[in-house]
Amino acid sequence: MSSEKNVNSPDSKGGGDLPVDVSNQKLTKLPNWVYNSHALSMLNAKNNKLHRLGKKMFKLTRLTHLNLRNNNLKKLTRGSRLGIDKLTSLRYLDLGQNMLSRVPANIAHLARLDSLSIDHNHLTQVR
Amino acid sequence: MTKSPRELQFLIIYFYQLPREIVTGLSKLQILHVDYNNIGPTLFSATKSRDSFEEDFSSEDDEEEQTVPNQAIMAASGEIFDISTCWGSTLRHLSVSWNRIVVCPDGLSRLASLTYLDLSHNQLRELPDDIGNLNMLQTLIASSNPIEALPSTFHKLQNSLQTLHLDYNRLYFIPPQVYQLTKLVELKLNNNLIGEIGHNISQLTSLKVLHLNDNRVRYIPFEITTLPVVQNAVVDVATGIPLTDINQHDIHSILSMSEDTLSHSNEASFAVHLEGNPLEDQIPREVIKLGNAAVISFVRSINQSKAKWRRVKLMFVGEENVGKSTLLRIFTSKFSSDSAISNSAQGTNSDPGLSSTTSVLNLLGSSSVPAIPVSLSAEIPTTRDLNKKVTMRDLSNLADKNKATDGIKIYDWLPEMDEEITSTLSPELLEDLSKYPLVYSCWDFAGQDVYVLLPYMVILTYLLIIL
Repeated sequence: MSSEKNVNSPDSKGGGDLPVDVSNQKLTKLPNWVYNSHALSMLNAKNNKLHRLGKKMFKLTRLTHLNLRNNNLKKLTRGSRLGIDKLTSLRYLDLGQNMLSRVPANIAHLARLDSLSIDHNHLTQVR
Repeated sequence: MTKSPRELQFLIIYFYQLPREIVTGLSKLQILHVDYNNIGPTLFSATKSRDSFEEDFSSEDDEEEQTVPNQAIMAASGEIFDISTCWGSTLRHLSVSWNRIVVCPDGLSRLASLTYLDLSHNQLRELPDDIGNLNMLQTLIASSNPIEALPSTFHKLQNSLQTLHLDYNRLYFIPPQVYQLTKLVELKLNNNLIGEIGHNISQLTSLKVLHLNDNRVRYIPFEITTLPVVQNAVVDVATGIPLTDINQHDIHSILSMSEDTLSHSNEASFAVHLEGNPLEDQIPREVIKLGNAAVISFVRSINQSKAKWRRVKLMFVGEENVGKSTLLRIFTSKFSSDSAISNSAQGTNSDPGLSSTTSVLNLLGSSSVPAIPVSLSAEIPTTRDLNKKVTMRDLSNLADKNKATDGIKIYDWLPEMDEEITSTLSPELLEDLSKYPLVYSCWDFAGQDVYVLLPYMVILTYLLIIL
């Protein structure tokens, strides 16, 4: 997607401890530089068009704040071995306004989480 | 191919429930927002989640599935899942609005740190019995549920609760527990079936916002005007003067104020909202139209101007030359030759509520003047007394001195007290009557047809017709 180019990296090697803000960009996937620093602690990707999370996302194990509000996410995992539960440092997780139909039980492994938002989703099942 | 509804044999809808692992795993969770989903009938599943991973149960997930206990066995064991076992001291903020929750989660009232709870737009019939144990709770939003009553422990929230929203429920009255919530700052009860505001509303001394739109309130108690917020909020922006000062003794000043002044200055920010209630019995429509500030000012002025004004309007209507003015003179003792008559015509109205009554003596037959039944109140001499004392001779004498009335003559008649009557009254009432005497305002109409209908046209309510 061309809009990816509009998002400038804060520096060539990623933000380190700096928060990364890629919100409001109409992104369908996150730019690669976001994943450059494994030390990244805060990632704000709200108000985009992400429909799934890239594998590299689950390697950002230092993330404490993750905002994915208002995207098009239907799932949080990429196969059972790569799930949101890998982000064990998370304290703040905002998944509001997506298209999730379930809350993965492995979210329960985020033992440090103190704020969880899953409002405005499709948490319902019709069988 | 999709099946048309006619072919559809059965459709089972499983509403979603949050996996209970969230509670057991996220032991440090302080804030949980799951609004605007389709969660129900309970917030959490009673059993361990069958799908620990959201992927379908193929390939790699096999080992995970084996650890999941059989759902049926779990359900049959009747295990109660208590959210307070893990979140009892951590969870501060729980927001589950716009779901399909029918039953509050077990242990909800044991979340000792909970300060904010939003249960609005669900299908809850009741709140947990022991909700009063949430002694940190500052905000409770439970609008849009079919709640009919609050649990008896609710008053125990009085040390913490500041905001309570119960709009769009099925409350037939303001629950008595609410009056004990002295810390309450904001109370919203719009769109219920509430018929009454209790006098003890004055106990809510911290209240800054009171919404009671679209209920069935017929009467606003004076106590509502003692709420501090009302005292301060009613200010006429045009003049900067608190309406309380203007209107303390003069109801008419509210009415004389332009609608714009009132609606634009006060309505938007006014703290008490009472639109959509049948207040017409208590408050004139003209005042209701001016909005909430005017309504409250009206209630206040009605109660603060304690001076009683005992006036009865006596309107005499009838054909010409039948003795209307003559009869009136008998009553008012303007014709002073017969003191017995004047005394007998004295009446006293012991009921202040009757003081706004207007009586129309409609004299239609010329021959029946003495037999006119006059009974304005119980204390007024009976017709028999009148008959005894007003003889036909007196009447003819009176008629001789009578002149045709020109237009309308209006004068006040302050009847003297007859001992026969005063002896039957209580001393308190007598003293009150001496302070605020009963005055009859006599309207003596001329006999033209045009006047006959006038009282009906001018006065629509409180009209007592004596034929």
